[in-house]
Amino acid sequence: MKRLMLVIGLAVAACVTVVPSLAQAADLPKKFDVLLYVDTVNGSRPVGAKPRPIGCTQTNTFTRGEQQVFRIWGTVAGTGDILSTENVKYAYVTVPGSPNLKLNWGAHGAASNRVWFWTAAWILPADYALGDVTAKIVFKTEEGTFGTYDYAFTVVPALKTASVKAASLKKASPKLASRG
Amino acid sequence: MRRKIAVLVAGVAAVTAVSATALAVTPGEIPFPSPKIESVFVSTHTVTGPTSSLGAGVLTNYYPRGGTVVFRVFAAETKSGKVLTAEDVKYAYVKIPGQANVKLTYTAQVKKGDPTWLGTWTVPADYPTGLVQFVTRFRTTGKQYGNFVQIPVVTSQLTVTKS
Repeated sequence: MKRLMLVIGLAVAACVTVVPSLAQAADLPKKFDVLLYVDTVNGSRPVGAKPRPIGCTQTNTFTRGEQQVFRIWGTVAGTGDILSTENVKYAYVTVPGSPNLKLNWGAHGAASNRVWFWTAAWILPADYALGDVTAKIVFKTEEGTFGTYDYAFTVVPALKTASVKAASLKKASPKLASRG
Repeated sequence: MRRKIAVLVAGVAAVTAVSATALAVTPGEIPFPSPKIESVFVSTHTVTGPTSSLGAGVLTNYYPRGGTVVFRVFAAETKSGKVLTAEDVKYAYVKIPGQANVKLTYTAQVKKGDPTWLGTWTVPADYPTGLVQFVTRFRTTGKQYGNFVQIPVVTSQLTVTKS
């Protein structure tokens, strides 16, 4: 009898654990009015932190004082038109505890291969809370449709250096390493 | 008379085409990845695998030889905005120069923002160091195609380093 109760108890506990995830999954959107690509790179102009060996590398881990740059492009479902100042009413990034960051439509990349997308940069404050953060990206189109994206990143006290060693990069690609 | 009508129709078509382009793109701007996404929207992130010294799921574009690149991919039909699932897709893979295609597998989202497709590539010990111009490709069961290419900022593109 005790064993039966234990099995029932475990089954109930498992249900309690599983049901919220399933309910959450059921709430997820199956379609979007605006489709977004979002990533972040380390800006080459940190204010309160040592610059990384290379600027504009993709990362979702930052230290206080670093410059975080959001890079975004997207398209309007239905027309397939790329999001630009021609069809976007406003666009911004909300980072908890900071004023909204206006997204700017502009040219980026080498002069020989310059392309346009949306960016917003900010410096992580010296007293910004450590840990996982979710930034929210919001686009409103001229047609009145919205695109949103929850972007997760982590604020750490110090960076691990395993992924990008300057010496290794110089050997791999001298041009890249010299851009820092 | 027929010739005049044909010339007139051709002229109107040409003006319409130019006007349509002018509406979508401001002169001098080159929107990434293109002024229009025709069929399938595809986005791709590269994150670390569980054996990385950085921990799993860290966004980075630098991987040593022997390291594991996890491709986290999202795709949706442009016309309807519908998220593509395994039922909608004939094939989905990442094409890496000099390597077999990395097949993408559909995984149901648990929370908002999760990718819907995943693929893993272990960088061979002898893979050339430097930039990796990968392309993510989708074909739907309705014969619609979509590609993802990296933003052309070289320091943010997938790069293989010495181990």
